[in-house]
Amino acid sequence: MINPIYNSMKNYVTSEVLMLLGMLSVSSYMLVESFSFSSESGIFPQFAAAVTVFGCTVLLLRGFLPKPLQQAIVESDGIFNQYSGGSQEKFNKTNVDYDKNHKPETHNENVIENDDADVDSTKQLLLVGLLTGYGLIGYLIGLVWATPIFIGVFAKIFNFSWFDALMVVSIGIVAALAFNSILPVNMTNGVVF
Amino acid sequence: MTQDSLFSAIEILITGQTIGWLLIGLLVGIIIGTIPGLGPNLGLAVALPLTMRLNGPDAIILLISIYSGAMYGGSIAAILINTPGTAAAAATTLDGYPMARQGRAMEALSISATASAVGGAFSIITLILLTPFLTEIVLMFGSPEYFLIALFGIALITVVVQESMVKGLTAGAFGLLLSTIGLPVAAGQPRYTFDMFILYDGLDFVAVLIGIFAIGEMIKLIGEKGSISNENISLSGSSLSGIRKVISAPITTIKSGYIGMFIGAIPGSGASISNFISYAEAVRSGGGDKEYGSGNHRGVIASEAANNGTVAGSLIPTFSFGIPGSGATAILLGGLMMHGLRPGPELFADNVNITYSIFFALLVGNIVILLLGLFIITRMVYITTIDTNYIIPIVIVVASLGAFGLSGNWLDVYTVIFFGIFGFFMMKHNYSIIAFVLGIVLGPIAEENLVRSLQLSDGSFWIFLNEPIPLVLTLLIAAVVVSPILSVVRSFFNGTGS
Repeated sequence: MINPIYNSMKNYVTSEVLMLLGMLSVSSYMLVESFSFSSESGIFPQFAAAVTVFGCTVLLLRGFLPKPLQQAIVESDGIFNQYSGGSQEKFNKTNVDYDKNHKPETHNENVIENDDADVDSTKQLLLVGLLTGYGLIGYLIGLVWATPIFIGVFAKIFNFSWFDALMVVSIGIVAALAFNSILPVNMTNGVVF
Repeated sequence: MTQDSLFSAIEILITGQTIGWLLIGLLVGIIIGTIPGLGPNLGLAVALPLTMRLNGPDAIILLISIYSGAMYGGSIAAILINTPGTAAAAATTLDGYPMARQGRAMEALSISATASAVGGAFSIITLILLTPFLTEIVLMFGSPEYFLIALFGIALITVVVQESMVKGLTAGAFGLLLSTIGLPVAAGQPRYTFDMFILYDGLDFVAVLIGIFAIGEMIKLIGEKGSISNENISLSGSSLSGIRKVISAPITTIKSGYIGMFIGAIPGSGASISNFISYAEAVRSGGGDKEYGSGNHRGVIASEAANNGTVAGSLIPTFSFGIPGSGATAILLGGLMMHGLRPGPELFADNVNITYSIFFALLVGNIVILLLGLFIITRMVYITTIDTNYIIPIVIVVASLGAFGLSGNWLDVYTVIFFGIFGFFMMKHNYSIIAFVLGIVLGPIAEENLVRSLQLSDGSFWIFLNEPIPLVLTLLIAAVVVSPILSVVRSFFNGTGS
């Protein structure tokens, strides 16, 4: 009994649904709050929030819309597609064929793969974690000092060689010091020191 | 008046360090465009805070040179490793890479440089000639028109881009909504600040742009497997032969440049679309020549002339109405506003000399692209083999430092991180990034014009209908929003609806 409900929830609650729920919550709050502003200050947020709430609701409920309406509104396509004479499709096909079948005669090659199925979400999650850590450590000790720590940890996690890690850390330090001197803000101090 | 402005523009360009910034911008742009996975948006977003110390014209010329350079740079990886450095060079792979495999890499690269320069130069000269007429049009617009054209821009983007219309409109409206945080344009109490002083100035749109175009792109990039290209590149062929090929195809080159310019002028479309349409037109006018797709030099000319022509076209809506045609021009618009240059009458009447100086810089930039492309870039091809994993931490560091450097406010750093993650999910699920960014950047201008219009009309919305231009714009917005629903009704009555 619980399993089918859990499975259907798991299928429905994707990262897109979470993003839309977040947008819906924020825009609903901003819509309600906008009625406490004066008419001049409130009219624009009311308009923008109402459109956002409507759009998020339609997108969250798109599975329940009639098929033609769903296709026209939610899955509509770019108006320029018909004018590209199939060259865009040819490009996509060429790249897929190249990726899958191409055996070079004189070249030694590894090819970039941009297929969604080949996305490594663990790496992306790690990067988001590192990014958040960089922001927090930067707040504590200053962005200039947090920079080599961030790049060092990044290099360790993503298996850079010692030489490459040293090079990238050095570039990062130079960039941090350059920004510190170019921009009119002190980046060497955090809340701790 | 125009003559004075033109002389003043040339003076701006040749005095001080302006030419130096132009060269730096072009080189940075070409390098960024060459590395697959990066591109003009990233380059512009990261460079934006660094322009704070420059004067307005120098800053915009630096940014626009990065944009123009990246448009050309994208072709290098497209030709040599069959992977476009930017989406704008995607169609270049169709014939450029086969040419390289036939031992004509140098020829393809010089065709790319020459066609980019010629297509870009023709379109920018046309833009300079069109400027007096644009000025006339811009001066006809008042507050109601500017409010409506901001809405029209967002609405149009949602139908032009290859994404869902509802997603686009929702993203644009959410951007407009977030721009209302802080002190309102009209007098009144702060909005959505939770009594936190740090939020009184609202979200810094530059930090949002950096977050989306730098951090969001890096999160996307790190997830892509196999992002190292180890292709052994053999640079054979003749540069001179490439120049001759472009000279022998003037109609294809100029027509492609104008196709790029026309498409670039439509909000939401950009070089990623124009290069394919121009390529398709070259195939069509070539009578379906079977050589296309297997190393026809006209294919490279069509794509490359179009993507550089797009740069000039995209400046028309950006500078005249504040409606950017692409992510890169959205950042450029952010740069204009950061330096106190507001699009519209201010750029076309009060500061038209600055506008001309930017156009002249682009013209000079196209000549420099030709020289760099022919004599230097062909010797820097190893850039295409740089592992993007090494670039990711540097971009993150530079983006975060740049955001903090905007005002020393930690909110900007957290804005960058938050919108980097948010932007990544928007990209992942095909929500229009450009519509969202346009909403954030244009929000304050749109609100100011809405409030001013309502003040002029004593609160009556008839002000958006009782004059010809606002009426036409209102009808156009309605047509754009309603058109998908009408197509459903039409298909239902034709019996094609399912």
